[in-house]
Amino acid sequence: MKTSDLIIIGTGPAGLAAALYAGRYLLNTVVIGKTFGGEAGRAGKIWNYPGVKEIDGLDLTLVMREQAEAVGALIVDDSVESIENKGGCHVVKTSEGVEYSGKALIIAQGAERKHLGIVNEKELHGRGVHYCITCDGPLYKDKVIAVVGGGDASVKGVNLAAQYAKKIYLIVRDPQIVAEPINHDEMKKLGDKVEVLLDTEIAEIVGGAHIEAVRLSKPYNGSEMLPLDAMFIEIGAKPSTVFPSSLGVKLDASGYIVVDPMMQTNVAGVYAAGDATAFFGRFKQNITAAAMGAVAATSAYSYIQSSPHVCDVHWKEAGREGRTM
Amino acid sequence: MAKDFLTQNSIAYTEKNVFDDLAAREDMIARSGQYGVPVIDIDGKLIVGFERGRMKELLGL
Repeated sequence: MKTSDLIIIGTGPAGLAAALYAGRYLLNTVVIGKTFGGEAGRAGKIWNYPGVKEIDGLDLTLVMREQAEAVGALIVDDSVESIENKGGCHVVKTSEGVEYSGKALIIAQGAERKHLGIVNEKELHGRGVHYCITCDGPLYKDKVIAVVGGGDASVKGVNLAAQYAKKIYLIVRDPQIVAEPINHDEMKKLGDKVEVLLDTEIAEIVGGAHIEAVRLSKPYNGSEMLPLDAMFIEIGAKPSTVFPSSLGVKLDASGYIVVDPMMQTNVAGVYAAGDATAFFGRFKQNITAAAMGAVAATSAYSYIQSSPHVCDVHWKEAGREGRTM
Repeated sequence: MAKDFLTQNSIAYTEKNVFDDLAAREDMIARSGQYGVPVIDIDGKLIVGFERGRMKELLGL
């Protein structure tokens, strides 16, 4: 078992900012995450992170990683298998069977992309049905695609896809789009290349080996069938509740971790930050995630300082007995 | 991240940009049956996406 002061779950902006602050507090810190960069890593170009004029999301998180590692944080690219509290220690086991023990824990695991939950969606995943336009969009050069969702991510996706797609349908369930005005304005400049279908849902995905069309909830140009080469689903995210539940962490009605203004959960020594919480409601940004990570690390530091004997672990290494930090 | 993993483990690899290289794209689609990236070919065995555990298994790490 590898021991530390602080374990952080998640390698997106919340986790990495927490690691930077924790390192500067001279906390022995381990950060564990399966998908490095989280949502930021797949966001494409970012223009609204203060201090950085324009940067690719993955590059931003790589800089954060460098900063965290420079102050001693250990970044582990692996998924978490289980989290338990044993005698005041938070014990995290990864999918590769490695166990890490920490006095304090920050859950910054983000949220998973929502699926539509309709027929053929799973079967055609990767065969014209996608969830990451920055990852897979460029494969559909000169093709006809749909982007499903009415938020900022979908509008940004449309703006990105316009560089290569022949035609883009933006399919929005609600009567209006909710996006940053600057992104919405950029989309409007695309003119006829983009058709916006409001108050419309996808009723069915049609296709055999690959997507061929979608059936809409209401007719468009006289038909419910819309032929497509691909569709990108950007309908938001839902939190993963598995680990918080195993620790007895309180969740809200939507499954987000409940935290106070210092990112403290209802469990002593357990904090949460980023998209795993709904602290700022639906407003989920890199800047809010990073801020929450910094606050969570500060709270974890205070906890460890005020509870010096929590998770006392005695270990032997090469015949030497000692105490972890 | 897949490239970082291979580099950290001193594994030589050939990268093909399927966005720019049409032949590579068609080969990827024909062999993997799908459009998601990355597709990693290890001695003829394909992995879609960065699956660390599976890559370690196929590379004998």
